[in-house]
Amino acid sequence: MKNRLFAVLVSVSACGGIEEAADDQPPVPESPRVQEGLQALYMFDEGDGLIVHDTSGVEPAFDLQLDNLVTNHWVPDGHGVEVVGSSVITSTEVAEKVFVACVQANAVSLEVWIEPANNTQNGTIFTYSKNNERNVTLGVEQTRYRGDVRTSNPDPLATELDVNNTVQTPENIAAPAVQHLVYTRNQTTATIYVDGTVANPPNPQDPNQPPPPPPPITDQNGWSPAYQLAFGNETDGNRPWLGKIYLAAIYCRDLTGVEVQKNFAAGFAF
Amino acid sequence: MKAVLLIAALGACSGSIDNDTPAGGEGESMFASTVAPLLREACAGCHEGAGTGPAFLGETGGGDDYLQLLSNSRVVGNFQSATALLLTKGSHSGSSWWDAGQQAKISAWLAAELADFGDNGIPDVLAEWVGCMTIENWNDSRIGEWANKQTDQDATCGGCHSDGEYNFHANATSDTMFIQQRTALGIGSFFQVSAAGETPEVFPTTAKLRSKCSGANLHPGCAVDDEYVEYLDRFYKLTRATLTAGLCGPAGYKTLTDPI
Repeated sequence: MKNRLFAVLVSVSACGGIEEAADDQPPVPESPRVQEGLQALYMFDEGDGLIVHDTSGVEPAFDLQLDNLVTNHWVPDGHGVEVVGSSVITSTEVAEKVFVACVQANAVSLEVWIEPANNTQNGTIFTYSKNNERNVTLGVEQTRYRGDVRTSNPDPLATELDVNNTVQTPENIAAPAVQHLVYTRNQTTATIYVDGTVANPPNPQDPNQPPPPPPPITDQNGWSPAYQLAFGNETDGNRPWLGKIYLAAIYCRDLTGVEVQKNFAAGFAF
Repeated sequence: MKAVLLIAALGACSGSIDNDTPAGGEGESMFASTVAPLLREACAGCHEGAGTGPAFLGETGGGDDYLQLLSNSRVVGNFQSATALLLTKGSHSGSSWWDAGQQAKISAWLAAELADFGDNGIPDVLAEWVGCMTIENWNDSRIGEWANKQTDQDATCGGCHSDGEYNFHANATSDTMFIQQRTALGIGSFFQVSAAGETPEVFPTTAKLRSKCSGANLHPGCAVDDEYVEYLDRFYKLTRATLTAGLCGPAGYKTLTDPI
């Protein structure tokens, strides 16, 4: 396996200070991808076996497992898993590092390089959920991509708590082609990027109307640590997604547009 | 004042530690010289690590004993001699109780700790842990299955421990068993405190459960199958994640009548 761990050029000392690398250390190449806030990274380049390794370098590694090699199999060229039938790639272990970091950050970004098998399916691509109860999910409904995140609204006037906040792209965005997809969420906004470009632009402001009130600030305190990270389906198997997955990552912060473009430029086979 | 020491590791880089904070107060040195030898001789056989009784001593003695004891508010009674189990428990399991001289040493140590720590005592990490336990995580982990675990005497854990008999709480009704675990008496069924690190931490009583199931001390034998260890381990990790994420409720033991 290629070395995919890119050491950072500085180290954080025990007291939170920044120490420059010693002069006698060999230069370390900068990662072509965004590292800040990364919690788990799956390159899907194992090529055989059932394990999909978390290569983020963030300990402890949170590996996932293919449920079989029949309805999903490794792409022959060494990058990716192709899901050809109802499957789920997941782990029943507690994704503690992701849960803690994302709840504390009140933000999350899901990133995938995928190639949908068609544009007629309603399925779950990447989720942190269990039995259709979701912390965060990125899915597709035919030609729309959709992102959901569970939030608690601390607004005392709110009548609904622990709601799933949803954003979706317009139609005719999801296509059976290689696509880079990022769903980001912070306390007030959510954005879906496709191939580095915002795919859910806000509605244009009517100049004759007063500006809308700012959205309420939300948090992710309603998340459950018992949910599972999974690809290609819900963990109960009721929303299968078919296609190829080449790379996936979860960040516990909202990536900026520039950062999304950086990851898009890096590709999935670097 | 010395409570600062227990959390000092977290703030050691802030530069805000009070320079007047003693590296070890009078209580700690008194414990080492007069109390620790008593506990090691009289209590360690049953009350350390995987021993057969409720664990309030460490597995390595020394500082491990000290920190573990300080984390157990019931045993040290917030340093009040009148409420410290260390002085109120009385003779049990065939052992003789402290003589007057031994009791005086323990009382003097508690008084010294009270002077060091002040009236607020020390953080009770098990009470904090109770505040982090949720019925959702309990049910997800299936830890309540322990009540249905079979022994080699054709019984179940819940058959003998449904109401906390022998200090182990395993009611066959899962919600009831969860309620039991949140009490000061019940929390020790599956969790204890480790002082192996710089600050006391809660960890599962897996070793103790294995010891019980080995058939020693007249306890029925019972294979600690991996699935049961996994149930406990999962509930531990879910609760730890809740704690680390900062999503816990108020610290404090519950009563059997408190709502879930």
